[in-house]
Amino acid sequence: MKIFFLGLLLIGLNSSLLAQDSTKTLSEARDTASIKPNPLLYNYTSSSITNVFNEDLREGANNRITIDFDYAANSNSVPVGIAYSMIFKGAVSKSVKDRGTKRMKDQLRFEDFMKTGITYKRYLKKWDGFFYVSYHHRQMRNILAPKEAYQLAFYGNAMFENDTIDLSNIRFQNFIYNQIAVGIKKKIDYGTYQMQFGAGLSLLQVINNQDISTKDSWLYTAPDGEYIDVNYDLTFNNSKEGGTSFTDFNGIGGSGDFNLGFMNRDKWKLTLDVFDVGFMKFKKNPMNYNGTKMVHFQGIGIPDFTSFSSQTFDNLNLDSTAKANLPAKSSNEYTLFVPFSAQLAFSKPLLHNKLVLTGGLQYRHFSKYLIYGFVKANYFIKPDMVFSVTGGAGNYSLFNLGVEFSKSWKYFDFAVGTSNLIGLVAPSHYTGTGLYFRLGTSF
Amino acid sequence: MIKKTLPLVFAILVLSILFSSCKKDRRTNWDTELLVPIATTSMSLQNLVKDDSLVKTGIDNQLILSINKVLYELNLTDQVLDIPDTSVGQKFTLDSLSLPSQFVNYNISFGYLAQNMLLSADAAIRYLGQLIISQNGSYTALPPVSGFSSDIFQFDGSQFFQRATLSRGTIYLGVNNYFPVPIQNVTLELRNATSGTLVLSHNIPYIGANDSIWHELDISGKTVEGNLTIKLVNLDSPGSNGVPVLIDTADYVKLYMQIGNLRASDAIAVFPEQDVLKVTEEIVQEIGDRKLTYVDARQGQLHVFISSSIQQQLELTYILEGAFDRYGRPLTARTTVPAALPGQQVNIDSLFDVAGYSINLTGKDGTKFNTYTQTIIAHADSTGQLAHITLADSLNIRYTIQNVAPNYIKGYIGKDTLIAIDSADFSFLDIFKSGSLDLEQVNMNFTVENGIGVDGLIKINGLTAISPNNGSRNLTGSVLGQPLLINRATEFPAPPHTGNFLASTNSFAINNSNSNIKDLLGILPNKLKYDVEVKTNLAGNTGQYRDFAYLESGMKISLNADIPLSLIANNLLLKDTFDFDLSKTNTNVAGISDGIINLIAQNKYPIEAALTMVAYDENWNAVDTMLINSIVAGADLNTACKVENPKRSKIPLYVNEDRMKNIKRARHAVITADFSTVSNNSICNGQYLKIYSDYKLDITFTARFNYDLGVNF
Repeated sequence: MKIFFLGLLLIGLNSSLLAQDSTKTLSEARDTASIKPNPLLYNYTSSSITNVFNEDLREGANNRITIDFDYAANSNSVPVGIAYSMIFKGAVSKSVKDRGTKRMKDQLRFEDFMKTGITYKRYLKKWDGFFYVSYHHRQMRNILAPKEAYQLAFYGNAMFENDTIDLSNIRFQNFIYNQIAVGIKKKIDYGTYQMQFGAGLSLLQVINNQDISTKDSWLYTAPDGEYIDVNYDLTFNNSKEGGTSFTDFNGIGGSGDFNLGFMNRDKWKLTLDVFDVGFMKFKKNPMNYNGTKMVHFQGIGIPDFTSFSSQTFDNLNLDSTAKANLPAKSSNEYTLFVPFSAQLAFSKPLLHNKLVLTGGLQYRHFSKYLIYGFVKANYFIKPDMVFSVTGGAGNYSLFNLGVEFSKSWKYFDFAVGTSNLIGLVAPSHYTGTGLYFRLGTSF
Repeated sequence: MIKKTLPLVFAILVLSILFSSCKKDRRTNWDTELLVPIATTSMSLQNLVKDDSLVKTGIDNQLILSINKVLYELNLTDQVLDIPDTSVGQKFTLDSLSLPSQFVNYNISFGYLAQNMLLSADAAIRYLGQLIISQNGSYTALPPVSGFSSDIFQFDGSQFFQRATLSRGTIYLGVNNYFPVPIQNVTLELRNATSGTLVLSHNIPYIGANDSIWHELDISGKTVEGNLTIKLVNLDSPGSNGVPVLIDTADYVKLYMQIGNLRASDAIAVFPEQDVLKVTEEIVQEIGDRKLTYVDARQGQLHVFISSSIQQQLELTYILEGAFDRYGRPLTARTTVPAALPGQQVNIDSLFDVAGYSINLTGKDGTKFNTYTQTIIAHADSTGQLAHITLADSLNIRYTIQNVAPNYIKGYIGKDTLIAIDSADFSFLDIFKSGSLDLEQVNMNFTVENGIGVDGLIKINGLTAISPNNGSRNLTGSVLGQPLLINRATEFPAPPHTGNFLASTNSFAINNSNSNIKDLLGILPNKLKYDVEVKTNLAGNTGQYRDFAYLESGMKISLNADIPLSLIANNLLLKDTFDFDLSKTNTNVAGISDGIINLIAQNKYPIEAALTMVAYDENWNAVDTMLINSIVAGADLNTACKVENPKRSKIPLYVNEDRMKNIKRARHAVITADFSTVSNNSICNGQYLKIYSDYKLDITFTARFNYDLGVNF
């Protein structure tokens, strides 16, 4: 699958470059764009660029291929440097951990997502609508935990010697999957007003999932660590024990994306999008732990210490001991709803179409997630060159400042931006970040 | 240019992100400080002595070290039950072969006699012949007659033998005179018909009328042929002495002759079916002064070797009298010896299993011992063919009873003196390399378990404790050299003998009052050297052949020691070397950078330990001194000098990456522990401290360490 994906990507790149070379008229492309600006209210109305419904083809083109990448993370307390470390398999520095501890009041909230892939869109002249097919690799994580759980995870239990740590109400979700989607979009012109609707269906190939939740749970560390008492009420579902690979197919699911828009030509546009309404079913290699238990752990028992040998230490496997104290393991299928997201946005061109202003609300279906409100201003430096600024507040990280730059040619366009510039520049200090870009060709 | 390359840059960025998010061999990691218990163990005295059975609990829950050590074990299989192989051989010759008896009857009638008289040259005899014939049926006085002879009798035995030289032979001759007058001076000659040689000449002086005689005539040393002639050399009669007698020509004289009791030294004969040999003999086995009356063989063979030059097939039967298997069947071996060709020999080699047989060794009359009784029968069936057998022909038979290993013997086992000078491991105190151990009391017993049906006595001539570190010490006291009677084992009613017997147990005590045994253990010995003497049947055969021994019988000398653990220990040094290899330990130690390993001891023994532990690499170079005289404190004593609560000690061991590397290079470790009883309560100082069953040492290893936690999201 990865090879296929990369192949498509390279083909797309190659065809884009060849297309430009063959025209040999960059100035011509610019002239064309200056004659008729890119559709304003179709391509600049989202907080980011991953909305397949809110972009149109260049006039005269019937096909479009885009390669996109979008990542965002936000937390109420921990710097997103931690998220970067998780994605890029790096080290989490003490200073980053400490900043999280300092900012955290009583609970850790964190979520991030990543979406990257390729989309092919075709205009169906007879139907006067669009058909698209896409392939995306996606990751989503959501963590809610008591502050002490965060400290236990990132500092260890030594700081809680002769103390009890509250581990109740932990919620951790991790979704890693590939999404193959097909969909349509059609615009209906009522004269002064237009309405557009779109719908997409996706097949979800689940690579990896963890879903952990706890209730009444705590951990006590005796002085000098002479023993540890753990009480847990745990539900832990895992799509597969052990490491996963990109080609794993540990679960399957389906989801739907929906779009509804109203507009008055290029004067204003109001859109409502709902994404990822669906489920995943984990049936191939499921693993479950579910139970309540009180564990008193005093170390691995050595039956006869006088028969001391090197083999004595071979039994000192803390991992297996920890597993032995987990609830009974089962392999039951389980099903989870995919966390959906929704966006309501209103866009209006201003300053003789030099500026498109968009305001909107976003929601992601995570616990204690605050609705995110944003305002995005797209300023057309040239008809084919746009600089955007986004300001937003909400979700877990409260305030985000984003920027975006986009450029288009006759057959090719790209955009790069961030929904959180501060976190992108200083991830070790700020609790949110984001980065997205798009490379597209229309022909 | 920028426009061309910019997409490529972004594409590479996309790829790098994709690849980075799929890296499986790297983990997100961060430093943590963990404080965890690693391992826990509970040590007791049972762990230390490595054998639960060595430690018993007394009535007041005080621990007692109980040692049961077999010092010497006599297995009678190699001694009393050793029965040597026994062989017997015998040569049998033709002298023992018999020939069939031959019978012949002849009637000489009065008329036949008269007709022969008529042929006589003597006129008187012719007259008498005429008179007998003419007066047949009437009464007439017969005159005397003398010098009558006749050559008319033939003896044909050629169907039985052609010729035989007799080593023994008898002619049984009977004559019945039914004539009306006596006969006298009857002379008979027996000659070989072919050679004409005289075998026998015999004279019968007188036979009255209607009377008879019976004579046995020895013909030993004679050579006889199958065809013999019997000649009446002379016959006289005194007549009727003038008295008329009834003349009846049918009257007769009956002559019957048996040639019997024939034993040939050389014969060409048809030998009859006969036991050529039948002997019952005793074989006495030499087995020292043991006098056995009975033996059960669990293994053994009867080896029969036969060499024969006899031209006659023989059936040999060997019977070991008084030997029966479990079903009551006698021990009988049968062998067929084929007829030998002239001038040649036939050899037979056969092996018969005697395992499972019970054998009486009391001889033919049941009064002897070590005596096998055997019967040998050599039987020849008649073949109906002539065979030439001479004195040179022989039958050699050799029987061997070999490899006999008994299950059981009975009789008089004899006097034996067994001296056991050896040493036995006594290796529960030698774990301490130095220091002193003062035990309050030692109760030791020497126990002799006698599984043999024989009386005896035992003496301990010497006992020495040997310590690898503290030299040796000899036992002294009245117990030395003192004889102890050993009773015989009791045999349960049998047969069949199934090995059921009850061993006798005799013991005598060695304790503080009759010896210095406490001092012997005080040097922390690892061996006990002993000199023990055992004598059996001192008074001889007082058991009237009632001694017995089973295969399982033996004599076991044991040392049983009960040592109440009430002690004073001073600097008892335990030193142990063990393999110590953490290089392959599956404890994720790779993520540990540095930290502290704590040894937390909860000690309920009133004994303090100072621990030192040094790790060595594979070449025995020290790589780390992990502990140096680290103290595990002994528990506090109450006013009754007893421990109520354990005492906690913590021994930290600082570990960093460098030290961890060193420790992971270690392959061996040497730990030394210096034990001393506590002196934390003045009331108990100097007293023996009792060790109770609830005393134990709990050890928990915990670690406070920086751990580089890696997670693969």
